[in-house]
Amino acid sequence: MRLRVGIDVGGTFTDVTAFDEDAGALVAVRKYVSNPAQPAAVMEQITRDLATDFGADSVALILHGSTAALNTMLEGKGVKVGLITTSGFRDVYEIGRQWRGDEVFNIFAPAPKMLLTRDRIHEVRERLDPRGHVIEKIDEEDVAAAIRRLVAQGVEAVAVCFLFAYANPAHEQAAAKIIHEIAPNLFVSLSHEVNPEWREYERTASSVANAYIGPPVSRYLHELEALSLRRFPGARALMMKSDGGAASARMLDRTPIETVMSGPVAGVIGGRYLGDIKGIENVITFDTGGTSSDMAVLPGQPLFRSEFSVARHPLRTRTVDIETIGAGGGSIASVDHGVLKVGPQSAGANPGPACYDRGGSEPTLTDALVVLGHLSPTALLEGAMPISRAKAHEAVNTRVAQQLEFTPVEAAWGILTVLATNVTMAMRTITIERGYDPREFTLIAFGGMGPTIAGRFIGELGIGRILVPRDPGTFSAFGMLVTDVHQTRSFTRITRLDAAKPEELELTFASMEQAALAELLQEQFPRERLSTLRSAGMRYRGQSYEVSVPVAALQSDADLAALAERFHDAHQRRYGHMAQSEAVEIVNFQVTAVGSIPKPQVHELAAREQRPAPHETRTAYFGPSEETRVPVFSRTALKPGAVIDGPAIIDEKTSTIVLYPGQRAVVDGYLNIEIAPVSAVP
Amino acid sequence: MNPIDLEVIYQSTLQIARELTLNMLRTGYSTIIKESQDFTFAIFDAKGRMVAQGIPQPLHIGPVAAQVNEVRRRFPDAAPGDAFIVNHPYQACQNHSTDVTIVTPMFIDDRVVGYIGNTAHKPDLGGKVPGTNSGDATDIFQEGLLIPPMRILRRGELVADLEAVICANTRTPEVTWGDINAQINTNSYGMTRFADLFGKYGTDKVLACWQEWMDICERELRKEIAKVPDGLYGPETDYLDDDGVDLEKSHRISATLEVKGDVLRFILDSDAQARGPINLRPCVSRNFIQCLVKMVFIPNLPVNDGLSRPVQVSYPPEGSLLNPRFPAPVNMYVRPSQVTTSVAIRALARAVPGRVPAPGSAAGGSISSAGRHPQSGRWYSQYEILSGGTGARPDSDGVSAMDELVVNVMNTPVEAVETEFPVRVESYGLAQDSGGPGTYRGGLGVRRQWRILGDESVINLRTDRFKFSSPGIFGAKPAHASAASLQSGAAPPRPLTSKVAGLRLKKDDVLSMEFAGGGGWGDPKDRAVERVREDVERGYVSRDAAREDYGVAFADDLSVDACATAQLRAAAKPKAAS
Repeated sequence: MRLRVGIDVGGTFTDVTAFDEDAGALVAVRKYVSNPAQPAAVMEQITRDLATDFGADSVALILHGSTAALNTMLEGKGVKVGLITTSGFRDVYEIGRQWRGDEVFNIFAPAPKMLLTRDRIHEVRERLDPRGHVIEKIDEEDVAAAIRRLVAQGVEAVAVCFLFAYANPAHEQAAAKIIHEIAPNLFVSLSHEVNPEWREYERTASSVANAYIGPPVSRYLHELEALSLRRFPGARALMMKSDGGAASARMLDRTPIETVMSGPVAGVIGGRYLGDIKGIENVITFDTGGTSSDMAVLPGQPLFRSEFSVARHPLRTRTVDIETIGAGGGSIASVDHGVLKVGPQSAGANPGPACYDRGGSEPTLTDALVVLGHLSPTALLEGAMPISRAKAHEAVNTRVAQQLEFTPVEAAWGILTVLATNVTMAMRTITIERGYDPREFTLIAFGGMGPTIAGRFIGELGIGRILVPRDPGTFSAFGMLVTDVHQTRSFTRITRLDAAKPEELELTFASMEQAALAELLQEQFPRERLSTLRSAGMRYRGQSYEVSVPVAALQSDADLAALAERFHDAHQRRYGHMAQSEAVEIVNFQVTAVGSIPKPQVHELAAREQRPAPHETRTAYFGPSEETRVPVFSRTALKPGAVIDGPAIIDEKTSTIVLYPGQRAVVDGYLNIEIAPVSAVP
Repeated sequence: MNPIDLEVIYQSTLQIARELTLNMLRTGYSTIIKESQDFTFAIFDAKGRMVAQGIPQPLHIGPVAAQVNEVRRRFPDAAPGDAFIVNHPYQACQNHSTDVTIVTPMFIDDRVVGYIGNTAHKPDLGGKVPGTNSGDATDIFQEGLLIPPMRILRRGELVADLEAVICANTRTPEVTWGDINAQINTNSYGMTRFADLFGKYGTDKVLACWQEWMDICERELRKEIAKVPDGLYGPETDYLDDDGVDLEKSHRISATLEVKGDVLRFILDSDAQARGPINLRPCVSRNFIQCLVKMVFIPNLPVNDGLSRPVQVSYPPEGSLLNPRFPAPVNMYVRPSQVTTSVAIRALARAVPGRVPAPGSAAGGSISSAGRHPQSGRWYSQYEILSGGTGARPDSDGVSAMDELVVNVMNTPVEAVETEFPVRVESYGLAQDSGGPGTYRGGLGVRRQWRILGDESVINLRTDRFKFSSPGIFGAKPAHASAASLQSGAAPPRPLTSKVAGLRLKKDDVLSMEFAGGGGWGDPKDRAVERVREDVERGYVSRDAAREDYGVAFADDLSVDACATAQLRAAAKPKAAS
């Protein structure tokens, strides 16, 4: 037995999935209650259970997704940090982009968020030009003086961001050396390591955030690794990164900011894997839990983004392009100016929905679904979570139905409708914004609540098919089992394509590839499992935004012409037009070295069409008033080839699947459930 | 109407406005669209009342509404597939001619059920200078091509003659027409989305939903206004430095607020219209004042026509700066818009003191330079917009490097400036002491210095607030004003005026620009001593200003000299009381 274990630490639950590589089968799907105050304590318990059940020599690989970095940002619990900048540019971080963004109509629009105060920003004499040439040599005395002041001010971490450091890291490296001499225990965050790309504000902000979360997150990653190795001496422990790859604690030592989207990204990777197995190219992943919905558009490969913000603080670090909205089981419904609103406020896990009977009195989506009979009126999680139908009814009735002069069922249907509208809007936005049509996609629904509500809105979007994986509530932990190890390198140098020599560009990419591969060789990957991917951020001259384009080998002028062609096509897709007469420039060079981890081999079972028998019936509503007796099936009893026509409900341990009238579910050979309108089923 | 339909239909309408915005961002050509997002969509009902809007550039909304109504009036024969174009600041309404609007009527069964209006700033539309907007224009004919309301699509067919005229009147035909084409196509895309919406819920139900949302906004706004004591607040007065043509003469703008029952009336007044381009059309100011009122009274409700009903604005006679007569030039309309916002905010603050900030700097403005790049030999044109600070809030300090209400444009990164242009940025930071001293301090303005690396560069400044700065409110001291200077060779820096057109700089000249701070709130002598100490420690306020403005003295180690502070503050008090 050789186990690969995925562990997804969420705010409420920690999910564990164990796959036996020898048998090609999942052997454990478990849920633990998270302990945000002591994240290592849960890990202690999980590894102990695994060792007890399967033996200390059984575990070969542990993949870990954690909200440690994200929560440190969200909760403002980072360390006291300082910042060292180029003389004359102390306020780059405080000024930001002088842009109110979404707050344009807020007369009290907030200042850009800062993770330190201005008295901890110190200037150092040094200056580079845009090509990285030294205009003024770094003044080492200035650096020493700045560090001594920061130490006296009590900082635990320091960020260094000099202008144009992405073009030449020498000054930042010189500063780092002095910092290590004077204060060897300080965590140091260098902008050319965190994000070697242009635009100084975003690079500075990312470096400061990296310093801010650095000490606690690094400590956590190393503790985790030590714990895993102590329990399973033969195992390798890896952490999920925002870009969908994994890395060791050592690889993340200087850039723990790369793990900030570690949690939601695994589900997207799992969705891609599932799509590949099924031969479906275009998928949208829809992961809905208690407080939010994470959505990603995957037209073939996942899309990436380089900039996003957490708790109003910008971060520029490569991440899978995921959009999150405040729509989940805990989303609270309220009546405002006579209008029904649902979310983004959430009752969270505590007190949770009213039906949990833990003191929550506000009606949530979960309560509405209990009133509608979509969720079991007695218990969820195979009985582990008892449900009070009376409390759900009371909350929906007193807080929504009475205000609107509705029956409780009408109000519950309204809550579901408004929330589904919010999800529909967001999904339209993310597909259209990226130049895609939602009608060409399959929706992969998971998370505890995704399969419960997806049927309500796919018609609205014109999506023809929903795919619900096995154990949808712990699917993110499964996604970790199918990831690879990634090491990314990037840097900015604006290069006109028509003036470039292919051999020079080839050399640039090749040297970046070597550096990235060297990292993976240190991780003991055999060479035959290593590969690299190149891409370039490209634009028409004069534009100040870039489009990412994959790059192949660059041997000849014909290869350059082919690259330009790919850029024109990508620009056409994203922006609806191209300009073939304009000069094309490469702005950023990017390389990802991939250490491939063999994928779990899942077996397809023979399917035989059959009509399974329900294990009970329940009263449910699929409209503001129509009461129906619907059959309820147990997912574990469904065999490949099973066909169920809606309206129907399929209960399982980690979720509930709701089939609407006119929808049909078919169980495939991998035990996924495919849902489509009956008219679309041949 | 069923409250669930009310929410779902209105959210769907807002979503269409959002998709129009995304489509425009996606398909527009110019960096004005893609970077500055200097465009706005709005949805109107059949009566020309605004229902919803996309990305809000507050200064665009008023003109679009006026243009939709002018198109309605002039073209009773509009047919399905028609679209209209307009940029004429006087024949319909427009901020300045480089904002071009496309209005597309929506038809269901041959009946007009609404309009989509969309305005976008154009990079060039002719006129006396590249970029069209000339700081020393003296009539509107120098401010680029004027297009009265005209058909641009006739039953789905492009009116090619008009396209030819437009393309012949711009220095950048490909980009300018590319943007106009994106506007036309985006409206057409919107038509299909609205046809879906009307088809799904029924035309009358959608129209009823829109009507009800306007009524909700009106009703909630009236409720809030009714809580304000009746009376006259103001007049509050401020000035513009000059009009860019006559540099000696300043220009007055004032506002009085009348509150009567559930209606607000702003009584605006000004000096006579200016020769230079700082005049402001009433249809522009009326709308941003309504937006301001919404921001103060019902911040969580959408912007729509309901807001306009309880908020009235009256103007001085035609021929005034705030009510100019054709063909007075208007291209620098943002400067009077900022000062008008400031006096309106001050009048509102008198009426509802806890709900309005002190006026901001009103100083945001642009610096442009053009020349030949020494390496590539190509002409370049560099354009930057920089900001002052916002006003202090009733319970906290203002925000540095940010504008209020009418201006919302990103700065240009130093690394982008130096990569693209033959310029070195010598420094970029906050201007110490620029924020208006008060119990709560105004935000600081920014300062930036550029060294010219090419042989020659021609610069333009389109700014204001060198002579007048935000006075603050409730006993605050005035903020620092803006300033600019030029250092050439070994000579001492020479001060510049706020509007400069076509000044030639040589290699190694250094241009410095400092923007005014936002106004303070309350008497600075009442500012908590610890806050003053913190400001000095963090460098926002100098020791001298702490003593002079705030009456706080320090020992060498930055500990507060309590005795000297008490004396300074006591000495100041009787004056404040008198």
